[in-house]
Amino acid sequence: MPMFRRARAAALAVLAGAGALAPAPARAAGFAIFEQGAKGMGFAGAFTAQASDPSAIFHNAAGIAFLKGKQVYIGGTLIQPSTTFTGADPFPGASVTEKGDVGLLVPPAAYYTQRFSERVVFGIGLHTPFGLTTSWANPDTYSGRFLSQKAELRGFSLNPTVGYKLADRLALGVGLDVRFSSVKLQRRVPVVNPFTQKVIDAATVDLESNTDVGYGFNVGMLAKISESLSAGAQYRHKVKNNYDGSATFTQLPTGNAQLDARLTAGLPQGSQPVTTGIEFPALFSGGVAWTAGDWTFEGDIDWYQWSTFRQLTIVFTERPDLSENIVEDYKNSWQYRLGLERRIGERYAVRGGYFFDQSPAPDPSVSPLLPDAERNGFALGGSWKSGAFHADAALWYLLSPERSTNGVNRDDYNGSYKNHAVTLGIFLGFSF
Amino acid sequence: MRTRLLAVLALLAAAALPASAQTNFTTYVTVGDSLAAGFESNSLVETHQNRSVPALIARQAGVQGFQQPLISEPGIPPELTLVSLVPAPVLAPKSSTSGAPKNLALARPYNNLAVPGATSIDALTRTTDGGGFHDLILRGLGTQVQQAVALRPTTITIWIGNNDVLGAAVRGRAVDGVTLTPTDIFRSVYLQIVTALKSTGAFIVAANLPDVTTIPYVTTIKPYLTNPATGAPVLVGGNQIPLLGPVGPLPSNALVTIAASTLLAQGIGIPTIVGGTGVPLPDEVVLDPSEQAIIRDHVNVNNKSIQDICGAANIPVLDLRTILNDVATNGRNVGGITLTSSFLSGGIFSYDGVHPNDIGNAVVANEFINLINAHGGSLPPVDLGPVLGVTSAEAGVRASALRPSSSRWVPFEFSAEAYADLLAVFPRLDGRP
Repeated sequence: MPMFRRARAAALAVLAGAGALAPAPARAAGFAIFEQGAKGMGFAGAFTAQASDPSAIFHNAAGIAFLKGKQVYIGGTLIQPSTTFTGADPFPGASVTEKGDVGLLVPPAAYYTQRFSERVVFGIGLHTPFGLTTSWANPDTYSGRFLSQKAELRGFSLNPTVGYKLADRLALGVGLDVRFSSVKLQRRVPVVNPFTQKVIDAATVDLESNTDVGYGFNVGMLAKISESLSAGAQYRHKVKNNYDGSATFTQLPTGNAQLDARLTAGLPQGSQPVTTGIEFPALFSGGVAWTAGDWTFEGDIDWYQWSTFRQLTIVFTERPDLSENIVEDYKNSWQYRLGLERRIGERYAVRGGYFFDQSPAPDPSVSPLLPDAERNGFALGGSWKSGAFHADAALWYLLSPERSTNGVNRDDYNGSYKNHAVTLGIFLGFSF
Repeated sequence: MRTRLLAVLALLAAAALPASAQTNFTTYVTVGDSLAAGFESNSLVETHQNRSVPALIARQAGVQGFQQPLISEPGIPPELTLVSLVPAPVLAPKSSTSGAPKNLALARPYNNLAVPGATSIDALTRTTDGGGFHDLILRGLGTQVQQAVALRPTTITIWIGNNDVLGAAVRGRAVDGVTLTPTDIFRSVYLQIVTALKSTGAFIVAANLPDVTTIPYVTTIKPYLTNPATGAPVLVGGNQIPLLGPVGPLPSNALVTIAASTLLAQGIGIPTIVGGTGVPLPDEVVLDPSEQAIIRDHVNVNNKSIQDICGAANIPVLDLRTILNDVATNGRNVGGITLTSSFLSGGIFSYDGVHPNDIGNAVVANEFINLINAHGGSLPPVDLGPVLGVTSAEAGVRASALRPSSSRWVPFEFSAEAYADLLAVFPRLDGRP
């Protein structure tokens, strides 16, 4: 019992550190994130049927039922995303190119598991199943600045989990998914300058929400059918976060005192209360792993119920006229993952894999806020083990084919987005 | 056998590609009125003529030598400008002198033959107007339609008929035969125009007529008293104060034209109870509901005629009425910028409240281009970025000479000179030379 308390204290310490720095890149299947542990990453995320380290808390809760003793698994993923945009006529125009400016992101993850009895293992994890950062370079002149200059969806899941062995080779896992998140949106407010009949920037509006807590659950099964074959499946339920926040209007000087006076009279001043919300979709994963000698192969399929992401509604509680309803109309999406491991002696392993990730965003919803695209992921990873200690590392190269709005963007902001990203996950494990 | 096969293949190829054969912009000509002429802010002036809808279409089609009757700054009449914005906007001509024609010596008809003020009847029959726009543009070389045919065009846009209804709105009077062309006459004249132009074998697109009761010229001033600073109704005892019209307080569905602004500034049309003169507004600045209905009816009937005639001649028609009604009702979102039909700040209409500004013309040009492309064209749309000022350094605020508005009653002041100039562009149909 004292051990469990210590573990919880450790988890809370991690949480305190992580809460402030848990944004993650956009442009992944909607805004889902799969970089939750470097061993799983080495398999290109195909890990549901193995779930053989504490990141099972994310991948398949049943996996922890097979983990020995007490285990800690902690690390982070460095993500360097890159987005370029080429405009199309009539707006913003074929000569326009824009660049994303997201910088380096580091979503952390931390897991702890502890065997409680022959059949029962408890665990707690912190991971980032969803997250988003979009930010555009030169925000003052960015052609999409009236739609979005910057958007952040920060958050993490605190995921207490119990794994239970139904039989020697069959386990069930259940987790409580406590989802913390907050949103930040920034854009410009346009007006037509009556003197010049040109559009100018009247104000900046910054929307910032509190951190909301939502609750969900996850259930997993893992069957070790034979010495060489295992199968796993997990369902993670949808979670709704409802945010309270404020939108702050900061008027920008136009260079004309009369116009400034008019705008002051017409613009909302200062901070306006807003409410908004996001429903994170359900995720179902299933996979099969096969081991022969020094080789392990796994193939997984993931399904995200993105069809629940129909719109992003921002309600100005005191100024209903400013309320917005951003239609998204996402479709359910699939991911296909293949990974292979080769163990080299007792201490080393190398891994590689590939995944394909469908985009849930229909063409009209591909926007400066959510420049979504399908992805091809190429994974390379390795492990080193020494006694009770091990380290995993994995590198992903994520390449998206050019995603065009095909002239049908909902805000008439058309063109093509080209995304790629490099991610490097480094995790350390310790058993005791 | 082989030749027959080739002939069949050629036929198939021709059948597959009729559209591209249709859009040949080698010689592009437009027939029309002030809207097609690029008339903006009560002026025909080269800065805006170069951004007229036909000029934009020509540019996007890569047409060389698209000639227009360019007028130097400050235009004819001198272009209206926004002089000041607070306490209430003041609009006045830029200058007391006019610009001059720059392209009179062109030895052939202009490609843009559109004449500000021209009705359908004018386009078909008028060759002169005693020193007005017709003389300036037609130069004694025949009517618009005759000159268009003489150019042996490969593509024509027909955008005529607005002045067969617009004068009624601008003059606040809907009188058949005086401010409105009778609809049966419009139909027969439009048919003659189409028949004459169709005989050239050119690819033709036409546009129908917007509902002129949605333009800022008639929607900006409310039929009740408003606070100029906020636009909100002035309430006394919780009630709105109707302006005084020729037959008593105006009903809430009356339209008041921009021309009323100078009268309101003098207290005319404003009840004595709130400090006005109690003198009613004259009929010519008010469109009562029955006048609106007459105007709308003419627009609808004429649009039906345009549809019937063009349909029979296989001419695609741009539904500008629906497009502009949608802008007036819902606005048009371009990259997060909502363009509306609001006066001064809506982004679509120029300072005269009747004609589109550069942005509005670019939006309309893109609608024409979409229609042309749907019929086999492959014109790139006009890049709206620079027109909006979003993607170039074109933005920037013009320093204005300040002339504060005199009135506590008007939402803005449309100077008397401005109104006189505007009326000159819309002469009474029955008073023409």
